[in-house]
Amino acid sequence: MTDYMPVGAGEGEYLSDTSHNKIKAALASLRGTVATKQQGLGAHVDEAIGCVQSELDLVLSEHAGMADDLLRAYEQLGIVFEVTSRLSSADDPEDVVRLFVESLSITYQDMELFSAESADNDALVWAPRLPEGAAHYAAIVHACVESRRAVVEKFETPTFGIAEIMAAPVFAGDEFVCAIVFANSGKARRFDASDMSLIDALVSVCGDLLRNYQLAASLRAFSMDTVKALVSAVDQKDQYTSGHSNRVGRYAKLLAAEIGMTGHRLQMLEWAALLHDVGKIGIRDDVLKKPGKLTDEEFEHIKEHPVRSYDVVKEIPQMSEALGGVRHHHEKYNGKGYPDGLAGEDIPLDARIILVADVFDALTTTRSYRKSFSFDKALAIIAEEAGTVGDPKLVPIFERVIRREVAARRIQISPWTGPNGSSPGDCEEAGS
Amino acid sequence: MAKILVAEDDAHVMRLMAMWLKRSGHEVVEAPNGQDAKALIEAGGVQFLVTDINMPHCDGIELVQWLRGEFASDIPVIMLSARCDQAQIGEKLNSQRVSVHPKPFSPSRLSNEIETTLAELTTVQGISEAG
Repeated sequence: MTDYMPVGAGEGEYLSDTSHNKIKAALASLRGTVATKQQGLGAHVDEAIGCVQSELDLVLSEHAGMADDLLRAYEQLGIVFEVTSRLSSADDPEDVVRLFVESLSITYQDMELFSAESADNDALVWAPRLPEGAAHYAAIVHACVESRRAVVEKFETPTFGIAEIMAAPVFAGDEFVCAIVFANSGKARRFDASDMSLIDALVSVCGDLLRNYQLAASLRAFSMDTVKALVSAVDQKDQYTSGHSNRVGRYAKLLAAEIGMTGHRLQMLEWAALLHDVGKIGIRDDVLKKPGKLTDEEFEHIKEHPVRSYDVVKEIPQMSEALGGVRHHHEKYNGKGYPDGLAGEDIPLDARIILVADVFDALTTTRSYRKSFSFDKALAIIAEEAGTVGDPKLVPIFERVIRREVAARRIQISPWTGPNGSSPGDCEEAGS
Repeated sequence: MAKILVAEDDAHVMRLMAMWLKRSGHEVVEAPNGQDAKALIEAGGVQFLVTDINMPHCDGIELVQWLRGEFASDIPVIMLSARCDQAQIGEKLNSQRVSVHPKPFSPSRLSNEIETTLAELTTVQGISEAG
């Protein structure tokens, strides 16, 4: 469609048509005038005009050549701008590679362009726009991974319409991510050193960005692991609640994902679910571990834990969006929960999700004051209390998702019977 | 393939642009300023305008305002500019269906946009004629 032509191919194309014709006409009229007025000078004039003409052609072809170089330079500048500005808007690593290939395809629109990925540098999995027979060219991808820079291979006889291939490796740090492969038919033009330097520079930008994503992901994982370690330390204050926060985190995340929560929002919900009981660190052990019924004073003390959790989490600015879920995870749907007595939709959605997950885990594990209920019995109790304790819209969804996950053996509910086979108590405070 | 008017006061940019657009198969008419551009548009047949912003005797913005206003034409316009206030220019001409690009222009992106716009236009015309 818009191929570059070989340098100087269009005769005088750098000059506008009008100027070109004017010069031609002037030379012709000069020849005519001189030849008529000075008989015998014709041959000399022809020679002189021939010289001027060929000099003019030379200058024009030089101009066209320079114009071509300038167009190439403009083009390369354009793609550098576009790649750098578009890549910064990418959402995830796959998006980075996709946008990168897309931006390149406009400049190299007359070529087949695709990314080739490899898990182990050995077996290359060829990605979307695979030109027929490209698998034969795996060698060049290996070559670019080996040399860590763009490599061009030219074929003496074009196969499947491909005259040459350029491959450039994208490395995130030391990790090979994929190779960007350009299959050129050679009809429009051939690759040269400037293509190689341009692509080398661009894949390195792309690689740096991917490396940043990796670092960010590893930081996120590190924070998540730290929080999990912290909450499991809190859970271990009471041997009956060991693993409780992690399980609530998992159940809540399942339910949230089921109702369409994604990305950052889902991440915040998971933080809140993991940290909902962190305030128990400030609850007296004798109250926390007490078998049997609590006195009113003791119960009031236990009820402080959501606010205590809230006070801990509010010190972390990045978790401000998790605060609602943490503070209100004991608010009942009928408004008779604590600490603020919120009801219905006034309770933050995250807190309503965590409450269902929390009650479910409390019912399916043995507590210091009672034995665990069976899976079905626990779901029946939650269903019975829908609208009073749990959000009536969320409860059926929770039941559906948890049954599905258990059936698929993705989660296991294995009631733990406690250390001394403690006696069954009432379940009124299930979920504390 | 379209008749494209290029309004540009810098002779070498004009030549480059004309050379590139001709290679892409278009017919190019050249205007070194906004005044001449108006005359060429009035003469008829122009299907696409590629214009610079800073030009003597009527700049690119005035030219587009005249084109959309007084002349009431909706031919597609691409505006190229080396100026720093491109976002504002884009905003100013927001309702005028003009796309603003930085200079130096990227040849393939320029022709890519022209082809896409022309193809869309053909489709729209096809639909409205069929309807």
